[in-house]
Amino acid sequence: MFVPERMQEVNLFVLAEDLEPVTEAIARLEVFHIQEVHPEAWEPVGEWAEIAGRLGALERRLEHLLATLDFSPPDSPVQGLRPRQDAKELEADITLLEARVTHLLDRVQQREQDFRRLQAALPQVASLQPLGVPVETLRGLRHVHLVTGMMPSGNVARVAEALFQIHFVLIPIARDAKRSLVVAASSQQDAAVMDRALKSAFFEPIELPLEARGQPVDARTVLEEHLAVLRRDLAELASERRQLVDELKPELSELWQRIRADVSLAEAMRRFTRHGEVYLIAGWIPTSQIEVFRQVVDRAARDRVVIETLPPDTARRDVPTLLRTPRWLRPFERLVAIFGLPSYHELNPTAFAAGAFLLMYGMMFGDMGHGGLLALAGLYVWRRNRIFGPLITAAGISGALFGLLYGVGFGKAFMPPLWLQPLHSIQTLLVSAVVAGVVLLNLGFILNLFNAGRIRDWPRFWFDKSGVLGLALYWTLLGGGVLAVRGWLSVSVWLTILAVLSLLLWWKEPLLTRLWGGDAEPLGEALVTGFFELFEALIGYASNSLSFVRLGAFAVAHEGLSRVVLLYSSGPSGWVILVVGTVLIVGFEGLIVGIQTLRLEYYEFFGRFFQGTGHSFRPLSLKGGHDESLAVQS
Amino acid sequence: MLGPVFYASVQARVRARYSDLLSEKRWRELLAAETLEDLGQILRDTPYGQAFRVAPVEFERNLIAHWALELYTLTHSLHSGPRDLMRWYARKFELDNLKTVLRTLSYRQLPGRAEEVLLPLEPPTLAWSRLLEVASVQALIAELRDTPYAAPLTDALERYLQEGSPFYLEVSIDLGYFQHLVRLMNRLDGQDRRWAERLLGSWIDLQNLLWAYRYRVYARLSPEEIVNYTLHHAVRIDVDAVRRAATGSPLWREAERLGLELSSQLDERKALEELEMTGFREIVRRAHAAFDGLLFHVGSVLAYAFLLEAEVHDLITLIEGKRHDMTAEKLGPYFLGEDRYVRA
Repeated sequence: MFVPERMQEVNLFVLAEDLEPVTEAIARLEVFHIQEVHPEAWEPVGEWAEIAGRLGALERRLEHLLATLDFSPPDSPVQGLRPRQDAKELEADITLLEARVTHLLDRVQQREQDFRRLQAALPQVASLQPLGVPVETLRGLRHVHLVTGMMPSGNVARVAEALFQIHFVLIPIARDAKRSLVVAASSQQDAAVMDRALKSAFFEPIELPLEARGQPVDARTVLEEHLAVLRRDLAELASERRQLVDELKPELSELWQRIRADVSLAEAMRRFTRHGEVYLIAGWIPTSQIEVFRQVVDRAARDRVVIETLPPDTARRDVPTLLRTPRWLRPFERLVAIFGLPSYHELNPTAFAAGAFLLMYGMMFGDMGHGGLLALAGLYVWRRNRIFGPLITAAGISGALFGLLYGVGFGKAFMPPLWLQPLHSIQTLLVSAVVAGVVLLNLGFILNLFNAGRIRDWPRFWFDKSGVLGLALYWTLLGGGVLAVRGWLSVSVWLTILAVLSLLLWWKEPLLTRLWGGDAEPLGEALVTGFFELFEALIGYASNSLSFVRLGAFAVAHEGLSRVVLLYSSGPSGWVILVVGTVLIVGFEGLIVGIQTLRLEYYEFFGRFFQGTGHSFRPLSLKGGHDESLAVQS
Repeated sequence: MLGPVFYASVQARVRARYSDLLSEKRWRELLAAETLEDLGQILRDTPYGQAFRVAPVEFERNLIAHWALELYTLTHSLHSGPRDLMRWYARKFELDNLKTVLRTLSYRQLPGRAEEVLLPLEPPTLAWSRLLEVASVQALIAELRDTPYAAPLTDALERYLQEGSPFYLEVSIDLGYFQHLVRLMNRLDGQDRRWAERLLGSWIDLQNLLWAYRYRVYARLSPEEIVNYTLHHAVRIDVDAVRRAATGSPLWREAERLGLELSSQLDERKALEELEMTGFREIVRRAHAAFDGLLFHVGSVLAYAFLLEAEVHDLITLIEGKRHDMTAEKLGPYFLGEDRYVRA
């Protein structure tokens, strides 16, 4: 729970003929994170890049087909994978399926096109009613060139500007935000000019359909009858499509699972390297899985495989992280993930983050009533969102518990406080808030020492501003300061210790170079940088500690705000103010407190020890690409 | 009045960046560089360093991406109106990528080839690799449905399907882009509006005029088509100017409206090339002049954007010149930076 799962680096040396079965076996196991390596004299596998490309193209075609049929195949296991052969053979199956589906789709599209054409012609025919002229007469006008059609609404005015050399009539009949139905007319002499201009304004003419004959009123009735027939046809085609989907379901599902798995395998093999007939499969695997992995690979390769396992050394930065966070802490893990994933050598800070979050949130939002409401809202959200729901619920419960300590519910003092009432003990509360901050910051220092010690990063352990030197400087500033003010420590001794520690931090770089070697910065540059680092560290220690004063300030503000709402809700329509005020406090202030909590957590707390530069463990699987679900496991 | 409040941070950043533009001395070194590698070496410790830490074949694309990212980064400090304008303006090279995708789909070219010429624009607003893999322009429009490009592409789709040429799609997205740019510019007021019109407006006018003449001279479109494929309301080049251009008015006369002097003796093709260079050089001159005064307006970012673009353009010219063994003297007329084309 506190550290990422231990990993082993694995190198498999596999014969070419065993490559496919071994990769398949590894993918089925879902515990192997591929690492691309390019040792000297080993070549990339160009052949598999090509196969992966071909399979990828087939996958996309099938995906398009499934989308067209509106069918999502269920997940099911697929046996006997053979990506190299499938890349050649599955194309014929897909082409056949496409042909069957396309035939149906062509018919649907034809009907839909007819339907749209006639439907678009309806208002056009209706607009001709005042003329009282048979439609066929308009089709055969001798002196006037008349066209009707749709065009982008924004182009109607533009085309009128463009037709500056001829006489014309342009009437928009109907329009929406995007398209307008337009009737345009000119003399037959200018027809070519007008048509060209309209075309360049993306005008799409609607021919008066041949089905429309006679007076416009009669033509309209005929069109409506045609539309009814088309509607019926489309309904029948929809049912035909459903039947086709039912019929093709098993074949489509099998094909989909196979291609998806083939693509995963080919994509994986594309990343391996080869030397003659031997392939190198490199990657990472959880130490706990190594024995099972060995057995599975041996079986797949019929014992013709060399398996090399190496524990990662502390200098490695590319080891993937697999966290084993308990299920109940998962929502908090997401909060950590927003900042960054712990690297393999780092501590998983989720448990500490959860504790700090609840403590800080509860302290700022302490109120039995509002906390309870927030918890109820969290329970409601829980059903829809498994991350924010639990977080909001936990925050609400923490607020309610602190409400108990404050003796406050909905801003009213319901009972004697178990600890203190914010508005009555402001100073105590503010001091307590800073004390809580000091505790958290020290926890941050300790966790940083742990992280640095874990990777034997001794310069960071001893000389970092969050290391031993930083901790000593922090306590000299804070504790020594208090002692000096109280007269229990002489000011000169205090200042001397402070100066020595500051000097050490200032001269850190030259000292580190002398003690542990490495590239030496020019002394002048190192001292200037060191000075500003020291300055920043000193300011940071003070500001980070004082930053926690907001824990108390928000608690006071919360109670004050709640009281104001209570005060104004005592009138005749007071319940409205009470409801609106409570909603605002729970919703708006709850959100602000959440943001403040995250700010303290990320900046003041995490900033001391957590770098979050890890990348997640993504095991190879047959479910399309790399499965991220195992990046975090309970 | 509130300019100093809104622009305090941005003008400081712009001035800092202005001082990072390549010095005359650096340009002399660049012009004297013998090979592309030498050129890359000289630029490695300049703000362009990152763009030259790749294979020489990618220099040009990276330079353009550098421009887009620089401009986008500066927009963080702007307030809403100017920010919207500058962010939209910063996306202008996205149109080039989109046209590459459209041509790839229309001419059924291999996506891999197109990927080699796509500009690596940051921050990535569109998933170019995915767009290259769609089956058709219709599918592309479906992929782009939540972007500002969907509507203009949909408008031109039918015409494209009839004629099979991506020209109509390209015209439509160009128009859509510029119309929106003009709308955003017109939403500004006061000093912001004046400077936007002075710099960006001049550029839009120039583009509009170039379109009108190119459509007439090269594509031989009808006057009605030319009017339909250009902006009707830029700043100084309005629909009447476009109509005149479309119906045969000489280029030098219309260029005068933009304060540009072109010889009346040039043939139209030559005059078009001249207009393009002279027009942009005039904008560069105005951009330099902007830095002589207070910069508490959107003109600060715009001026820097144009100066940087001119510098990027000239670097690309230089790189291409080196590739074809052209001397600095021969490249001179193709530089936008005033000092460079005069000196070279």
